[in-house]
Amino acid sequence: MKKHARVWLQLTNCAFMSYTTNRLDTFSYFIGKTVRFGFFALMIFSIFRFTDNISGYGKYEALLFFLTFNLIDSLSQALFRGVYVFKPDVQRGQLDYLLPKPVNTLFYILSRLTDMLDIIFSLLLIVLTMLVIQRLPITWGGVEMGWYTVLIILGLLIIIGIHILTVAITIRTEESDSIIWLYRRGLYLGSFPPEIFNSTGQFLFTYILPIFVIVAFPVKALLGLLDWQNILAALGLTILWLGGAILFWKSSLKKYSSASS
Amino acid sequence: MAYRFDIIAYRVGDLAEMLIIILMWSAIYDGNTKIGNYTLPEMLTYLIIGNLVAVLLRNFLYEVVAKDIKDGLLSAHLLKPISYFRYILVREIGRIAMVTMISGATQLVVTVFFIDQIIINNDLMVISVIILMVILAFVIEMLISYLSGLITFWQDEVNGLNFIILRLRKFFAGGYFPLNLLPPWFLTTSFLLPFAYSFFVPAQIYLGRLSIQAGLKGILVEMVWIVLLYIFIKITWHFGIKKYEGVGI
Repeated sequence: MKKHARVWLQLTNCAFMSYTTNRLDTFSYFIGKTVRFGFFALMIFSIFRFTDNISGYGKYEALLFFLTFNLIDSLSQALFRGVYVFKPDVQRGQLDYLLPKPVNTLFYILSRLTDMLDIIFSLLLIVLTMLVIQRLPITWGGVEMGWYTVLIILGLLIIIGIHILTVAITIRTEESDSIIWLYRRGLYLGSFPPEIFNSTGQFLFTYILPIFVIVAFPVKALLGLLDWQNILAALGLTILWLGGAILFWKSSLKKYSSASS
Repeated sequence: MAYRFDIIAYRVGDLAEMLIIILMWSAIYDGNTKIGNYTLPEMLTYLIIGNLVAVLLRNFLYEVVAKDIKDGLLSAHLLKPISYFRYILVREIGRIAMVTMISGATQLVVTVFFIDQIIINNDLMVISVIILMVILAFVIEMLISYLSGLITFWQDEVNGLNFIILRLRKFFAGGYFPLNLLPPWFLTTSFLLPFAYSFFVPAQIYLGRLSIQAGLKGILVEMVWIVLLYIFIKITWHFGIKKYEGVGI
């Protein structure tokens, strides 16, 4: 554990240095993220000029969905950006150099490119989320806040599972960019209340592709709208996705042939 | 077609994104007959037609130009008896033709799926103006993309800058929501910029919310922008090529 923490710190340090070599580009990316976030927030405020609810959720509740989605998306990008640069490792056989390292290969692949911009952005989102929570009838330090935090952690674990699946599929097909972007676009579903979908859609994106488990469940728990059965289901799905992904990764490693080395 | 899975996955992503937006607006309209003077069919038509146009205008020219400059590959092009500008524009059109056709077909699938909920306009004059507008918008997008790529003469990495440009472009094009949901001064500003003609204006003309005359005025604005962008490109190239060192060959 200590070894992996040291490795993570060193990799993060290297990633930070690479960001600071292109300061203008890094700053531009940060501004771009902020601009995109701002436009979406503006869209929500504009919509609420003309209506007082979206599927029964008021303005600040809708904002909570939006902010929670952004927070989870930002945190997952911050911590697991390494998966986006994995494809060349497979195509050029560079995975050969990662496999014999005395550190878990999966850990190394996922965490070798910590995105400092997204970490800074996540801190900003946490502050905004707290400001929105203050506008809602939610008790600070209450059970709901505890469940909100736990379910965000479970959501991040499912996201780890999805990233592991992406890595495993890349080994088998060498085509990974589209999968990760499919997941990113799918996660966008969670920025809106799940009730905008019919019951089939809600079932599909809760129990088959657990997008709503990742984003909507924490918000619903915070608003006191999530029952214990769904919390148990979230835990079960987390174990299923993470466990299944790790098994698939192990099976995919056996298919790796290092064709280009 | 070497990476078929990638192509299919990206198209599924396009479809999913479109469907999410449609579902969101359908939910917003639940209990409301109009939002910002748009009925649900008008809003859906706006989104579907607008997205169809936006998909047809996509290009990645800035990446190609940036790579050529950064990796020194531009040197080989400078030696050829052909304008790099014309060469790269034509090459990019060929490169994105297949992807654009497939993306366009995907958007048409969405259109067919919602055909009974959207407004059909088969006025030939309207369609002609929209087609001309879209063609000019495509040229503008290519020129902006090329100009962004030329910034690599001074700055190695331009992805961040392009990220901002893409976001601003989508916002001022009305890609997130109709621009007339915002204050009037914002709409006036958007009409002076070239972006509104790649989504908002064609969709408004299709809906009959903007007249043919407004469309023709818009075409004139686009032509002015094409000339301006061409001049910017010439100036940028003139100064940029003096900075070019061919590093990376």
